Amino acid sequence: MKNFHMKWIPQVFLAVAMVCMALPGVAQAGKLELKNLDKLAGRASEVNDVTLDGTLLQFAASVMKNSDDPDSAQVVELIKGLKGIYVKNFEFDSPGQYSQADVEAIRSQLTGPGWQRIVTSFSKHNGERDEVYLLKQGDKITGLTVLVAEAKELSVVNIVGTIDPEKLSELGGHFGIPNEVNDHSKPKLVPRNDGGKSKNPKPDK
Amino acid sequence: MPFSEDDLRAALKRKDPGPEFTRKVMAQLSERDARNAGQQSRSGWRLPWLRLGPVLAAAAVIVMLLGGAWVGYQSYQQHQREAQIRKHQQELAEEQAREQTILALRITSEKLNYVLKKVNGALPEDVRIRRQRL
Amino acid sequence: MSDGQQEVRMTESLERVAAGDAAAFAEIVGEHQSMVFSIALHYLQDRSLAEDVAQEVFLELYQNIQAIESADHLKFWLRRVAVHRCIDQGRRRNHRRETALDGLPEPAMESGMADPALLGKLRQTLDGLPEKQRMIVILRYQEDLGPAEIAELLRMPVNTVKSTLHRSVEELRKKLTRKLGEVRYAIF
Repeated sequence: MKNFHMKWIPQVFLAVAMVCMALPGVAQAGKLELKNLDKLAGRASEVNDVTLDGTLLQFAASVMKNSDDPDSAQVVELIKGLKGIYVKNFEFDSPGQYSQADVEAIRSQLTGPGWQRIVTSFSKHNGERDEVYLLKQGDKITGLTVLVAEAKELSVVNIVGTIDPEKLSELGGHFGIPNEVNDHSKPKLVPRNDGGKSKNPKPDK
Repeated sequence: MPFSEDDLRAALKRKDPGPEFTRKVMAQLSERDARNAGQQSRSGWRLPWLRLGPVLAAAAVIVMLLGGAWVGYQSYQQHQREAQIRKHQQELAEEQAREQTILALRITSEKLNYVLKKVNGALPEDVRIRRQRL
Repeated sequence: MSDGQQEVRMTESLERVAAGDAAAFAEIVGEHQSMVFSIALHYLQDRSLAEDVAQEVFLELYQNIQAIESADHLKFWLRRVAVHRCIDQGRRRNHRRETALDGLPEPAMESGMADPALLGKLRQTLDGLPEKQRMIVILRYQEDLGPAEIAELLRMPVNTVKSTLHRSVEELRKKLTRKLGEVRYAIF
């Protein structure tokens, strides 16, 4: 009996080890894979590349919580439910520095379950397309992606976690963020409730 | 009223005598101990062969004390330096985390606002807004 | 480091010194040297004398370390010995004092504070006060002690400390106004 157990232990161990190794590959829901854009950094005249995962966000929140700055309290409130903020922002001196394939690699991830495209601005004249996607679970917004694909700019902002777009707009006027975001005469960022018809829209050619 | 209480506090703010001060105090302590040990041995000079053991023991203690004080002081200084470096690194990390968070939120807000304005017709299509210098 | 953490650290250092740890005594010196040195410096207005007095205080501490019961007691003991040694030293020396405060770096100025010239004049004017008055002002404004604590250190009645403090500050104001007036007169 003893020999029987000892024979199976290595196999069980190996199976557990394989599961553990595979775990990091399981994507955090809502987090996009943006590594394919890193190659653009060499061609860009300006790059902003920010990766804030859960641990770093919590650390930042604890630093700002101890700050006397009243604006910091708002930021702490905003990032409270977040699991990650990922920003890739490239600006180029001339058009044609990235390909449609680069953008499609991002956009294809936003056709997955839960993502809804709620805003599109498309110009047939120059092919520029700007989009905003929300990831919803029930009534909660658990992800936000802004994709700006223009002649001399490619930007992706991917936020994972419970986000309140209202609170994001309330940041206007603080930390150098323009106050125009706080302009309540403009329509707010509210996902359409159209029975899911707009879910997973096919990209226009 | 030529001055306030805060002026008095500022005028009488504590001043550090510098890092050499502690070294001087410890050095004086060692000298004093050496002197005391020397006096003890001189009082037993009449019968040196009977006093040799205590003299040697006292000498050993002095040497150990001097060595120990010196090592102790070195380790104290090292400890202080390391603590300062750690504190500085911690402050840097905190500042970086704060700046990165604010940068990420700025860009998010900026891009969101830009897209919404474009969609609502506030921006003509041929007007490009480069990333605003915030 | 918070006050609580500092107290714990000092208590541990005291225990280690009692057990013969020389490094622990160096830590105690490092922790309190500014306090002791500054009392002597502001009282005697002579850096080299102040250093000597401060060193003597710590040497005396080493002799009496077994009698120190806690971190608070340590501070009290150091202040009391520093105060009395300063007063003794002030009586002993002659009055040809060299004011040698210029070589010391000024503490970092916060916004809205008075200019260094005024602060320097204040220190010099303090030197003209009688010994008890001078020490009371130093303990109040350098060490931020209340009248009761000062009274305990100097072995004086609390009300005497309060009235002396009030009188001392008024006298400082008068002397300083006279000084500044002299300067103004000299310029014009």
